[in-house]
Amino acid sequence: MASELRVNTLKDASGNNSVATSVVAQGSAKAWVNFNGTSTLAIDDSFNMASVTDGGTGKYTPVATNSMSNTDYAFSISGREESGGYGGFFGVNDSDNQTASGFEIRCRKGSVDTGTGDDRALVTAVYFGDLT
Amino acid sequence: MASILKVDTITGVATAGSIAVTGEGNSTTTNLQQGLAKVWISVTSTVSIHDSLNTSSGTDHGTGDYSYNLTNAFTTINGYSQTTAVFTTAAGATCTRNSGRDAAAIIAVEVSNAAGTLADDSLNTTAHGDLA
Repeated sequence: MASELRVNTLKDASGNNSVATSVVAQGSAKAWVNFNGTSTLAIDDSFNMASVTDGGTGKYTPVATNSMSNTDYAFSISGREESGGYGGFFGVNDSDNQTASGFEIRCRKGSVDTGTGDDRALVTAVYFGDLT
Repeated sequence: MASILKVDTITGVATAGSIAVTGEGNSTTTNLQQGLAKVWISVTSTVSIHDSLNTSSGTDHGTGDYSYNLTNAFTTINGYSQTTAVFTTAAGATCTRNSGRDAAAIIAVEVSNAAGTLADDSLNTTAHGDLA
């Protein structure tokens, strides 16, 4: 049977480790995705993620199923090393392109200054913030 | 009325590993288990762990090449989203997931500098995904 519990604070049975339920909601990731960005893009695993758009070599835009409440949410990105070597860099297109549902990830290989776009075998993104 | 719930374990009714939490905007629900970070690690460049969650030990494989054994593994090698941040005094350092060492029970990273050369630096890493 489905049930709903309404409380303000959670504690362990000893009365320690108190945490407000608002902190649980605020501190939880609201979306994450793990995908292969080489050849035909494929999502390996995800939470609250509708799709990932392939924008060209080393460019990907994750699209959340349930959007964030605005474009002020935080996110982090990473992934595996550059193709054919190690290292490689992850960034995002400038903030004007961030929407409530996603942002464009950009992957580069080589050096910071002279690197070029690079498709990665594994890219990850995690969203934190307020849902609508 | 304020309320406090004292428990040691929270389990879903219909599905043990799935509990819905109402989002901040009061209209969208998110999933408690899916949103929780399953791993976080703060380490020095000598692989010494400052503090961590769900991590048993670390291994230094050489310059910029580290791995961390998990206490509780993820379901699959591609079943988690891992992100990192590097502490560095030089611009352009990066940290990527190492496909040569990562596994369902191993977080593996490579740190490189702006020129794309492996380098020792302190780092933080987190992982979200499905535990086994």
